[in-house]
Amino acid sequence: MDEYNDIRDLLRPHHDIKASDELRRKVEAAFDPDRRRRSFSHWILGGISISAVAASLILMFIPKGMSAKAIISEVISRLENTQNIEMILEVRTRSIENFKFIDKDENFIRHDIFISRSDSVLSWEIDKGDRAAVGLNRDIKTWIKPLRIGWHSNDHDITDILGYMANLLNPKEILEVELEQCLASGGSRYSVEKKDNEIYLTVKAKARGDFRNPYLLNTSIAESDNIRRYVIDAVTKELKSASVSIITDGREIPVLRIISINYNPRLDNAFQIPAGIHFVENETILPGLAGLSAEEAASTVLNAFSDWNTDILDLAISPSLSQAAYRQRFYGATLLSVGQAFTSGNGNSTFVPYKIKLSDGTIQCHNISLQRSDSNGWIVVGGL
Amino acid sequence: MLHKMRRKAVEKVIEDNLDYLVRFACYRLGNHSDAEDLVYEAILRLLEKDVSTIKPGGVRMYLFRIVYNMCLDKSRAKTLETIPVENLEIPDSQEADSATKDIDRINSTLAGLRERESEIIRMNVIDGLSFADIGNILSIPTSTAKSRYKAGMEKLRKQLSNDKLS
Repeated sequence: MDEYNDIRDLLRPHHDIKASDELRRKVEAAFDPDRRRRSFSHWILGGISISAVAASLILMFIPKGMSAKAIISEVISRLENTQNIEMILEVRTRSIENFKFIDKDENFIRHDIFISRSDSVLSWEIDKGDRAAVGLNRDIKTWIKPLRIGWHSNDHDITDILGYMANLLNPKEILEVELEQCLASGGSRYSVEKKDNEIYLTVKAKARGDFRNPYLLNTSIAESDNIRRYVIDAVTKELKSASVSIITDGREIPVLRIISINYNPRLDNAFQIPAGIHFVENETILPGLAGLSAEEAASTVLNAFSDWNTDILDLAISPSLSQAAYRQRFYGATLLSVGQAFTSGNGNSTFVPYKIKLSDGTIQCHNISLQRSDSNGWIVVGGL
Repeated sequence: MLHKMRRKAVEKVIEDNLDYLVRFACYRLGNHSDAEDLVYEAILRLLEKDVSTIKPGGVRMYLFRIVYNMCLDKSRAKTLETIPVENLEIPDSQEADSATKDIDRINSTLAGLRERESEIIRMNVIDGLSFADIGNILSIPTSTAKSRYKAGMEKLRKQLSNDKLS
């Protein structure tokens, strides 16, 4: 890689960074098991931190005699010693849809979640019936059971795939993360109170994103005005349950609820991937359709379905994915119309409405979802 | 006896790599003090393990992997500067020292890249890790690490030549 020596020289640090003498002394002391045990306990209590404003507000809301630091530190400490968690929750969604998707008009769908954490290695599994995912840190496999196809990404942000549910994979940080997000995002309010033997944390948050076009409003928790409630056992400091409701048209509609949490169960049958699933690697870098508007790119792709023109399709859709997931449905289809492109929510995708006649005569109307590739062309990321 | 020897070998690896680990964490957290706290925590976790479960040659990579994952966890959770609950006063902001300015300079140069590209460039150029080591830490094939490095460098070259023209 000599061709990049000029850039490497530019990036090279001018100042070296070294471990301090104090750290070296602490590490040396840690080699002695007896000295290490004492300093580790000190670290657990001293290292818990929340913002100054959050701390003072919590102290205002907690009844006298109960310190916020004590509550939070005990919950975290309890979860520090928890390696495995098994959770059952219900979400208003469709069984086959992606994990971020919610729909207030759908029924509750059961989700089984298994989490195993050891030395910062996180293994997890989520199964919502027709769609499941297994992850080892950022190495993630997702698959759709009825279609027996899936996607593998070995360096993916878990939040991209799971949305709000990514928080549930790390319950230990829920309280700290929720409090910090409240103050960071503005327009969010929270309260902490104790009743009998339970502690209630309630967070009220505004939808994040631009919803002048409301297409994505209320389709995920982040993109909804929502209320998140957590219940903690005041005696054991275990998270007992959680729920999320979205606020729409002045009504509060529950969309997610944890109905059971089991700490340190055996997970012998968890994290298994069934045989016979065809996985597509998400590493494929697509060039995209360059030099076109979103509407033109959408038309080009959708027109290419009629004779399955792979010269075009392979630029915008992973070949193995289009073959496995789209060919049977779209081969021979006729594009009838496309509408004006729009964005919604966080603006990551551009949507183009389309109407297409499938080879069996069925008319499909939907919004194709496009994003820019690394080389600034358009690629298809959904909506088919 | 074997256990004691292996223990000593692990401690030596930790001592020999302490500077590298602190630098590694520093470039990801942007703060020397946070980096040292995090590296110390990672070492404690390693020392709590039964060292016979780690191959002698794997201790170094094990440490880098833990530190990398902990940096990711910390970056995800952090949205505000946080202080211990005991101190309710906001600390005074401090003049950035030379090392911090260096970190800012390098991170801002890499800011225009996708994280998966900038991370590999950081690991190879700043941390001096081979593509095989990088693949080990990120659980990706060596060839993927190389191709992301190349893609990131090409973008940097374009970015830097655009900066010169403007």
